[in-house]
Amino acid sequence: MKPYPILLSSLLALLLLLSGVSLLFGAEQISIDNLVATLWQGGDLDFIVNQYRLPRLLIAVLVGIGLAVSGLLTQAVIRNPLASPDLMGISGGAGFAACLLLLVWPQIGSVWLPLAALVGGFSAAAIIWLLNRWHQPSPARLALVGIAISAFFTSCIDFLLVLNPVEVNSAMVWLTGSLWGRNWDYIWPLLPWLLILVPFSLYLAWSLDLLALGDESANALGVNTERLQISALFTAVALASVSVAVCGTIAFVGLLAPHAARLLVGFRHQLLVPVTALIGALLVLSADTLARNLAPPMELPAGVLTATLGAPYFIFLLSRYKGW
Amino acid sequence: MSTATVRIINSRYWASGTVMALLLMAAFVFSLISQSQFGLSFDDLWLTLSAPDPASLNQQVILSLRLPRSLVACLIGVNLGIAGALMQGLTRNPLASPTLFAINSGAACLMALSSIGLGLFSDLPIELITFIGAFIGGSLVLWLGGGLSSQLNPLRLILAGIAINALFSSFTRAVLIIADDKAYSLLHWLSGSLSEIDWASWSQLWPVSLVAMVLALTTCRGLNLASLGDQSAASLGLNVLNLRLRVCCAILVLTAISVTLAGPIVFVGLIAPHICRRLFNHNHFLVVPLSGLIGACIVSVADLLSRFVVPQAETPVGIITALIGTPIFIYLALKEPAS
Amino acid sequence: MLTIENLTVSYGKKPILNDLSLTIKQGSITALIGPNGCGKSTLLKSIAGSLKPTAGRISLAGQDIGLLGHKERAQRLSMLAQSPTTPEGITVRQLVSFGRNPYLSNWGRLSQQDHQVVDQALTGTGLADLAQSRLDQLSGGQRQRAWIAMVLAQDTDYVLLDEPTTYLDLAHQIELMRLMQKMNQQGKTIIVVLHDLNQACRYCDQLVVLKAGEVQAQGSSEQIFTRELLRQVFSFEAQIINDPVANKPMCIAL
Repeated sequence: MKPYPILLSSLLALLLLLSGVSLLFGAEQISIDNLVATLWQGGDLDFIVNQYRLPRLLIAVLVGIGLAVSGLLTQAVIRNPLASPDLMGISGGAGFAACLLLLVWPQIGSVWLPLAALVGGFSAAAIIWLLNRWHQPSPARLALVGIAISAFFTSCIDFLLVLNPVEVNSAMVWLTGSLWGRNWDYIWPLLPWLLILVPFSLYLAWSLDLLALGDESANALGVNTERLQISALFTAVALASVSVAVCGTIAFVGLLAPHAARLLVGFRHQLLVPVTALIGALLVLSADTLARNLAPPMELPAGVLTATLGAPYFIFLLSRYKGW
Repeated sequence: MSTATVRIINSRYWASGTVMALLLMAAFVFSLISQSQFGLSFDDLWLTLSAPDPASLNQQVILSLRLPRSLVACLIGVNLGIAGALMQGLTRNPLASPTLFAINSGAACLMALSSIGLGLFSDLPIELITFIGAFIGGSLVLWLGGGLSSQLNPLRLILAGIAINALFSSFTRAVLIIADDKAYSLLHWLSGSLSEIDWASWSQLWPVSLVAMVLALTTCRGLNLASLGDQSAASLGLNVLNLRLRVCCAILVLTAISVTLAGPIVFVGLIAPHICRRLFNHNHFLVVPLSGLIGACIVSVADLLSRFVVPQAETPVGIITALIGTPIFIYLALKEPAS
Repeated sequence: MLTIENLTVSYGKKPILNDLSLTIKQGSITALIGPNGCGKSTLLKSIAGSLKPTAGRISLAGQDIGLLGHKERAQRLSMLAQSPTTPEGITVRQLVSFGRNPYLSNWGRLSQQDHQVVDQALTGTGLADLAQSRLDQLSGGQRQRAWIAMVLAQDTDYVLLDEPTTYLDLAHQIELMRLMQKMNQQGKTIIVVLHDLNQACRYCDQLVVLKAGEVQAQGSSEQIFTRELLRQVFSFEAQIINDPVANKPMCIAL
């Protein structure tokens, strides 16, 4: 295990490098001098770099952070390392609500999408929370309910699309985990949420370590477990929902980023939050960069790549997990 | 138990069974004639049976469009209901459903991929492609979820299902975006629709379903034993692996043929066994076939409703089952005591 | 002094503890004993604050602890749960440091003094050498000692132990009981739920016998440990003899 500051700097450096790559490569390749010049002064390439690739890069990073930290918090509250917001139907709820808004009110500014998504995400989360509270279900049962809720919201979305066939394409593009067409308009709705919620997650981190000892032990040590779980779950749902509002469901980030982080730094959440955030950003950014460059000018949705890489790794984790 | 009590229980079962059968018949009959642009009525139906007239347009509509569709709806309902009962018996979890096996998403994915002309599949008939896709999905989940190992862990199976489902859905969605001209028809199929059904579908459906149903019925005794736990059942003489193979085969075939003809129809396999256990008991000899009956009711009623929900248009039946099914499912999930 | 007045605790509609009243003397070691399902763990958890009572009051030195904040309560009472979960990769020292939580802010920074308390707890339980070892690499007995060290680091006057010996072999059980007596000698009041009646008699000053959510008897083992009690509460026939080593009552099943 590397000492923590070195690890953190390495991840940051990697992120910067990847950012550079993502700005340089694409349907049109740009040289480094041109890139630097355009960033400072604009010019012919201003559109591609400053209006297209740069905001997209920033959104990928922000969404990656949001999804990853959301997954970390969900796993801490549900106390199962295989939990994640997309598996619990939260992304489905968020997606449905935002989709509803888009189809019913196509002119609405993108500022309102995260709010609608929040309402949807929280509705789904409420069901899961109630279930967890009343019955303390086994992880299997919780997973099954999550699947059902996801399937329900997917059907609801399909229903909306059937009613409004004209909007199918835009809805599809928006729903599938993709960063296509995301520009500066989408950053401003997203940024405030992250600026507040990620530091808040760090604040909850120490108490989350105690929560891992079990409800009774945590209570005995002076932790208000109920308030902690609600705060953590609230934050997780909010982060997942706003990320879904901007990019649709990018699967597996919330599941795998925390895992990878744990392999690198252990169980302490104060260390995990920053590392998970960085790994999430790296995952989404690489997925999107690859997606844009595999078969240009055709763009695959980033969600396909995260699923293609994520699913096999997840299965691998399943076979190694000894907690059965 | 006194004979009087046994008689009471049996008569209660008969009552429930009869109600279900009547409901099914009502849905069947109504779906033959309702909401048609040709204005079908009971008279047309009566005439079709008593005085068949090949020249009458109304009668032709009933015979060649409505009748196969209602029959297929019924049989698909039976298939999914039985598959659901088997799934819940296999995983010993009342919240499991055939969707877990990524059968639907596998079929959808392969169909989507072939519709954009990808790979070697584009020359085969569409039904074969979806069937193969369904099988690939199901087998992958089974293999990766440890279904063939000595200890079946339901959670691992469920999680493998989630992962494979996510994988296939992402490919399907990618196709939806890339091939936007095909998006609408693909989406329509993905929602589970019975509007394309004809007699050819029926002739494909019933032989395969019959074989799978017979296979399913042979597993009833084994499932009863397996509900005690794999180890207890094995010590009672059950060949656990053999049972699991037969059950999985039956689930795969029943669900695959249904998704091939009508697209993914969810929740039927989840709800039907639940209702069955409420009305009857947990004996698989009753649960398996009667879940089929209840499944048929659900799909027939949903198909009937699908013509009414949006005026002058049809809502895909899969959406109706999902919209009705989820509140019921959540209610059931919240009511069940922790296991 | 810990006073419990008219305590009723229910799971859903079913009352587990019914109008229960009890006093625990400061400085004693009290064992809660009783047949399965009598509510002893429930009582302990209610005192510790994990379970909210439907009715009744628990007071410490006259003050209602239901009105205390979480951390304030944790500075007066500590509890070792029956089957606590161990986060993966945690070291002994990290676990024991958690015991200082009631005195820390939400950021979890330990002061010099906190570190000293942790050191003392580690030494007191003989774990000073194992401080950097991972908890999951220790034996059952060592792991339980680590949890006790955490409770020691919490430095409370009242310590609650929920079946601390259940998963230990005999040698470690005795070691734990002795540790418990040592804690008591340092001034802590201990309430422990035990299954083993002979251990309860030997190591504890006071016994509280529970059945069906009510107190059946309370007193020292010499006072209340009789054949009739065992017959009535535990439904088994036994002979009571005097333990020659500890000079306390002991039961032998007939």
